[in-house]
Amino acid sequence: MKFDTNELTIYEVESLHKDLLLEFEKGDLLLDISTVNKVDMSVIQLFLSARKSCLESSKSFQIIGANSEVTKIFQESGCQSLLGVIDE
Amino acid sequence: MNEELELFIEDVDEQLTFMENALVSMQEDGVDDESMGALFRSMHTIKGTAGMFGFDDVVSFTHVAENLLSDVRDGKVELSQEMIEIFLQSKDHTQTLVDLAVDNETLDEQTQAKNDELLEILKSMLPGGKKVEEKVDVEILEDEPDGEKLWHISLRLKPHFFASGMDIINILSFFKILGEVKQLLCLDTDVPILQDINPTQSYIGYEILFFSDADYADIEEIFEFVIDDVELEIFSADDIEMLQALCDKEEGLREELVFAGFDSASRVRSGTKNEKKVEKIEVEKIKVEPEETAPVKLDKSAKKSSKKETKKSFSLRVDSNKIDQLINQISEMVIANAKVTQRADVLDDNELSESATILSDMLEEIRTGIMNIRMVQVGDSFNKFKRIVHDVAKKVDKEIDFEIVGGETELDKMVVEKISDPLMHMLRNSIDHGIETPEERKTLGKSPKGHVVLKTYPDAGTIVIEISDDGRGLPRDKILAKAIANGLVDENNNLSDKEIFNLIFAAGLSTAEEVSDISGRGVGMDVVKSNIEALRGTVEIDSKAGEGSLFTIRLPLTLAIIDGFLIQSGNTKYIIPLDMIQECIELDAKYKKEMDGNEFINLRDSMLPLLDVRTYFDEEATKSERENIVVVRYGDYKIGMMVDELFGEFQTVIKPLGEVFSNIVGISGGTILGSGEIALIFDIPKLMEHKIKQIKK
Repeated sequence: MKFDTNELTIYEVESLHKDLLLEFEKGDLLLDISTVNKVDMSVIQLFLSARKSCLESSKSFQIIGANSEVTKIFQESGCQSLLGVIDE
Repeated sequence: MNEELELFIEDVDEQLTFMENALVSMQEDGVDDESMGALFRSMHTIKGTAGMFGFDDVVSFTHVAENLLSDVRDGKVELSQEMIEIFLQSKDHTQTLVDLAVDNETLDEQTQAKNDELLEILKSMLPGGKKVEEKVDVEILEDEPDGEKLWHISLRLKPHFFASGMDIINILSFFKILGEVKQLLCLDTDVPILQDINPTQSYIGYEILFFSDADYADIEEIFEFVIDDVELEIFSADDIEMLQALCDKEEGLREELVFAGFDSASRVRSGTKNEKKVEKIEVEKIKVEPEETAPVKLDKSAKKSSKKETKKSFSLRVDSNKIDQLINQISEMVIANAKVTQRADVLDDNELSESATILSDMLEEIRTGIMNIRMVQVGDSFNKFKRIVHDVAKKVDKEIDFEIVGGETELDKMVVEKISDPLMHMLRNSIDHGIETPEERKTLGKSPKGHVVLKTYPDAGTIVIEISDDGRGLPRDKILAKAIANGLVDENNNLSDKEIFNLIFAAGLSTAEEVSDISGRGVGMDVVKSNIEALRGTVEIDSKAGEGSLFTIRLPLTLAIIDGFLIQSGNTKYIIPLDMIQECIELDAKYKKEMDGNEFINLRDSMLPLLDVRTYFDEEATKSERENIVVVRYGDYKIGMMVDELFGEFQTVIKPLGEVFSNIVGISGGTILGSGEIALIFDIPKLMEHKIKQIKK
């Protein structure tokens, strides 16, 4: 799934949660965050949660398209490797 | 603008003003070590706090300035007049940078040029033209290479963390400025899966290994703005005891730590340690508008800045102990003054007596002033309940409409803090037990949304806090049955509804069929009551089946000095809190005839029960012919106290009585009169309770 906003923060986290749940019902989670310039901890936490859900039901979870700015945020949050975010 | 940012702006203003004053006085009087150190700390603080907000321009500039200050402080460079001038300019520039950052604006050309110019000069002043790394990452390590050590920081975000408006990632990035992060482990163990998560709540924790010369306070300061929103433990990485305690608390943590490369986690020993925290309270201080002086020509910019100056208010963090000390001293002065007043009466010296009166008026003003320092609006603290109510409601699948009324009511800061837990508990109870589920409510013809109100208002020298809901009300019969089963009351009791409801405050009584993680364990309400009583307050319940319940908490306004009314009964002098007194009447022959051996009088067509103080405290009879009644009110109750003599108002310093007297019902403390005599202070609520019981019998 792609995002039409360039910030994913606490303000978007509730609607993002709903979107992720819908997407999760459909199958694997492939999150393309190439449009995103900013994430905050609430969203990273939601990704961690999504990853857990995927692990539990043997679905795949992947974040792609992270730009260097966002990768840096993931790195500073200590969750970069946990979420498998790579600078593209 | 959020609260943290406001706090930051205030803080920066203070630090910069301080720097300016220090620099100017250095210009005149030369340098001393102490102010140099303070100067360095100011810059350091600004850098630190700006870092937390991610204000990079401010951080990189202040960083260079701080470096030079540090070298000056350590005597590596001598402070020249020229340097002071540059520091003053830097100070102004920092202000500009902060203003821009706060307004979310980028540097304009002029500011950028100034920035570069100042940086250039500052760097050239460093010893041997020492290069400062452009990146702020590593440097401070080089300042004092001796004090470095490895710290372990354990951090858990409290569930409401995100509501603080601070991003933990920004805060973490600040570690890099103070030293080197060796390990950063993000704990997602408690993060629920997508189907269960509440995305606005935080479940995250961190374990950090941090190598730096920073001390405990420096590290704690990183979390200054979120200190109430996190659980934080900072300890030396080789403190195995602390680590052990930490691992004991959380299952699986040790394995995760070992796995992540926290070497010391594989070693073992146990123990505990407590950090003592000083309660801090904030003091608001408003700058007074400068007095109009003779017309002076001001240019436009000067006018503008002076106007800006007058609008600023700044707050001061003061250790609350200092205020307590001040209150104690005032108390002693009040006592000393009472003695002067009394002496003036004895000497029949009018002038002395007048001076003493003026003095006591002034003392009273000072006293009110100091008390006001401690007063805060309850709304600030109560607003956090909104979040809690929301969370609890969600958890138990109920819809709640929560309202806070009277948030502007002021109460002693300490009392507000101590009352917070009991209130939270009672709110949870209201939602969990009181309010029905939306379906139930619909069938009952109520709106599906439950209504819970937290209301605060002052009433006769007390502050009243009410929690009301429109739920199902308390199960009267169930409580009674349970109380009888527990042996709390006799089967043949004669209790009023109110008294039955109040039984829920007894230890070990929970009528909830099901123990949820919110309530129903039967501990809690008794703790609530004892917490409130520790604040010299009372709590009462009223409830109507199907209509809801009302909890009423009454708290005294102040804790140390009160306005009292001095009376005598028998040979002892007593104080009645003035706010509770409604009127004084003489117990004349007409009333005595009416009483006819009963302890009631007819006061303007309503029955007033009387409490004979002399009999109650076993006083000897006095010769005085006149008897008086002091009518006191507390909550909904009124009684008349039968006393002998009335002396009038008295500023009363409450002194605790010793343990020996703790069991005397009806006396809450003592005070020292001008003559050196002791007067006892009535505990009116307790006396009323006694009287009501007596009447029932």
